[in-house]
Amino acid sequence: MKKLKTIIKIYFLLCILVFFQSFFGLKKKYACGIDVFVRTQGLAVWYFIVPISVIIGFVFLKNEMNYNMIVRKKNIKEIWLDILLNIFHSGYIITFLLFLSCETIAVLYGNFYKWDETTSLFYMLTRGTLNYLNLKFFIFMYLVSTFFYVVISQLLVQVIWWWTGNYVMGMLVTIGLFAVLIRNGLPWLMRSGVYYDIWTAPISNFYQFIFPILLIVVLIGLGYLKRKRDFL
Amino acid sequence: MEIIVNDYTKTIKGATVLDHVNLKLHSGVCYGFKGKNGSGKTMLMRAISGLINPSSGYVKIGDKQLGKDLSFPESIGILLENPAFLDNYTGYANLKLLADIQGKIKEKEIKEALSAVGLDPEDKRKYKKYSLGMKQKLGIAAAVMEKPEIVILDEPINAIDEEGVVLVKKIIFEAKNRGAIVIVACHDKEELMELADEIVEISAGKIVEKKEAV
Ligand SMILES: Nc1ncnc2c1ncn2[C@@H]1O[C@H](COP(=O)(O)OP(=O)(O)OP(=O)(O)O)[C@@H](O)[C@H]1O
Ligand SMILES: [Mg+2]
Repeated sequence: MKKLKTIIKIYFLLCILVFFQSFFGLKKKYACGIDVFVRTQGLAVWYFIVPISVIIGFVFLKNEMNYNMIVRKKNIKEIWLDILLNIFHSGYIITFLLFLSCETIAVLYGNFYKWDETTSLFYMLTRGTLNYLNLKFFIFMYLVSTFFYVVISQLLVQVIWWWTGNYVMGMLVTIGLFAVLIRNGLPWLMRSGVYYDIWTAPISNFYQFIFPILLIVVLIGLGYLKRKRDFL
Repeated sequence: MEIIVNDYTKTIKGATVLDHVNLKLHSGVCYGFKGKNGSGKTMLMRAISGLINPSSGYVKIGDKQLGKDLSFPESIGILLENPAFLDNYTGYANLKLLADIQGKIKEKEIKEALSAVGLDPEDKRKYKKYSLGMKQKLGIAAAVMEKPEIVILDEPINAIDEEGVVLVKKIIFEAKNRGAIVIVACHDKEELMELADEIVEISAGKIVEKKEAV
């Protein structure tokens, strides 16, 4: 029950953010709902997802890292596993909620899919070359990159906390690093943007899937390497 | 069962907070930690709980060494300086959450523990609406509800009214009688003498005296 309430709160928060985005975006004539989707989902991923997931991680630690819970755990590995489970849960929950709130706005917009219109944002960004694009695949790529954003940013901040005990430092490092990466464009995050050269470039399985998964595995492993830890 | 603290030293950022501590604790005895503010009573409790790791030395619970054979004692209940619970849960829900981690006890035992400290198990108020003393009582209930072999209570009667103090004493007495190792810290000398069988005096991270309470 409590978890559900938290989820609903996050959902409304996301809705508000997305609403403001699309509101400001209305100035840039959208031809159809999926344009709005592209715009809102892309911007949300870029600007909100990392800070939001870092805050969720903090709330989790505040609630679950108290001595009462810790001494009841079998060992320190189990505590790390709890942290990981929370990261993955929040990963797919946020991905789903963000998708839902962006979709809601897109559907409300009316004309859902009109990429062959020359006034379409997508048409403009892809210079009209991509109106044959597979919509399902397109949305799938958005979901995958959102999920990776959430999971990798949270993992990074938790690994830093796990090793140094300093959450604020992890937060600054993570938000800073992602800000730089997003500015400069990372191959495995690229499909969250909608630009001509991105969508005309062939999909690289390595950058889109294997690299982020490797990164996740390495970060998880780094947590397991820590055998002893002070809980002050 | 026995707890052995052997030549335990803990340094945090250059400050020695526990200094070559040697201590043996036995079942069915209540130990009273005594010492000035900042002397290391709470730290020693953390060391025994496995919440901190030694810079040198070790803690053994029975024949198992903390940080080597296990991370935390298998059966322990603790209350440290401030009770740690979730703000938006009721007292019962908080205890249930903790009890479910190990699954040793059910609703009945949780409610018994709440009644034993003088809290109403049916109270629907959230933890954040609790008074200071009620929070403290909930902390004590959490520490003893699973009837652990080790019970650590850091200043348990802080903020607790007279009636409550009687209940806490009863709880400590019961824990002792069923064979638990009980550790309490308390700044009130007379209360400590009454609660504890043995007094362990700590000063600047060192044990300076261990004697029978009289
Ligand atoms: N989280 C912490 N990080 C670093 N040092 C700490 C921390 N908590 C306590 N200390 C230091 O450890 C030493 C012992 O503190 P401790 O809390 O064990 O004292 P205490 O005997 O319980 O005091 P009190 O009677 O005030 O509760 C002190 O010098 C304190 O400054
Ligand atoms: Mg203390």
